[in-house]
Amino acid sequence: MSLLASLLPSAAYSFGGAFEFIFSEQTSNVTGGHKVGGIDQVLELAATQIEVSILALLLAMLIALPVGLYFGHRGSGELVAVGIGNAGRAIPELAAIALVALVIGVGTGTLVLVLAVLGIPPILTNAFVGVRQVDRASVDAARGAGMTGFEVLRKVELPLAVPSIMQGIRGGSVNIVATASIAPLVGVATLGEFILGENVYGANGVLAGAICVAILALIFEFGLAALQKRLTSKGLKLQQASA
Amino acid sequence: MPASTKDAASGMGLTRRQVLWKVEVPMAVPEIIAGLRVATVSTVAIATLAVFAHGGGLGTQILGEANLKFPTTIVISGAIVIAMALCFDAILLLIQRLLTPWRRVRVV
Repeated sequence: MSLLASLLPSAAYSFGGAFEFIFSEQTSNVTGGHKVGGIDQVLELAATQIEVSILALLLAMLIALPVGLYFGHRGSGELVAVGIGNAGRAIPELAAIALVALVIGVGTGTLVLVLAVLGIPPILTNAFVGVRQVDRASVDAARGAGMTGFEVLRKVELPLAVPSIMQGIRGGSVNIVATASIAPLVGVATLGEFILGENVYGANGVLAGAICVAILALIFEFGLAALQKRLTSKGLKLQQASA
Repeated sequence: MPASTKDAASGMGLTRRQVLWKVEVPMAVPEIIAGLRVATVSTVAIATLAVFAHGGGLGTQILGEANLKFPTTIVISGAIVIAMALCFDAILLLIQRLLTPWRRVRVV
C-alpha cells in the first residue's frame, strides 16, 4: 500500500452521493438492510462533536490563558511559553490518545483531555504574545495612575490583547473540532464515525463526514470571529480602523 | 516593516519590485519562517493519522492491534514523531539563520 495509491480514489464516491448521505438514510454496505446516514444521525453525531469540542476548548483555555497572561504580564518566560507552544504542536494526537486511553481508559474524558492538549499551544502562545506586545507606554501610564499589577493586567493589558488572544482561541478551536473526528477510537461517536467507518458507511459516508466536519470547523471559526468583534474594545477598533 | 526603511530603499533608487525582493522579503523572513515552523511541526504530528488512509507511517505502530495493552510501542513511536518534528523545526531555524545574516551581528 503505497502512499500514492492511497490518494487515488479507491471506491466509488461523489459529492452528490455524499450530500444524499447527509440528508437521507442509505442502505448500509453491511448486509441486513441496516439504514445509515440521514440528517438525524448527522445532527446527533455533530452534537456530540460540538459538545466534546467545547469542553476541550474550555479546558485548554482554563490551562493556557492564565499561564500565557501571567508570563506575558511579567514579561518573562518567553522561552517557556514559546517552547511549550512549539513542543505541544509536535505531539502526535494519535499517540497521545492511544496512551491516555491506556492509562485512564476510553471515554469522553480521555478524548477531551487529548483534544485540550491540542488547543493549548496556540492559545498559550497568542495570549503570551498578545499581552507582551501591549504598548509599554500604556502600561506605564496605568501604573502611574496607581493601578496594581492585577488591575493593569485586567483593565489595560487584557483588553488590548483581545485580538491576539481570540486569534489563538480560534486557531485552537479549529484544530480541536477537526481532530475530534478521531473520537471513535476511544468509543465516542462523533462525525468521525462516518470518516473512520468506511466499511459501514461507504465512501460517500466518509466524504459526507469530512464535509460535515469542515462545515462545523467553519461555524466555530465564524462564531468566535463574531465573539472577537464583540469583545474588542471600541477604542481598539477605532485604532485598527485608522491604522 | 518600518516605513522609513522602505523610504530609504526607494530613496536609494530601488524600483518597487526591487524594494519587494531586496528589502521587504528579506526583512519578513523571520515571520515567514515562524509561520512555516508552526505549519511544519503540526503537519509532521498530524501525518501519523495517515494510517487511517492506509498511508502507512508511524501511526501504524501506534494503532497496531497488539499495542492496545502495551504502551511501549506507542511511547516510542510518539517520541520518534516528536523528535522528527523538532528536527524539521531545527532545520527551518537553521535556514532562517542562514537567510538573515544581519540578525547575527551584535550591535555594540
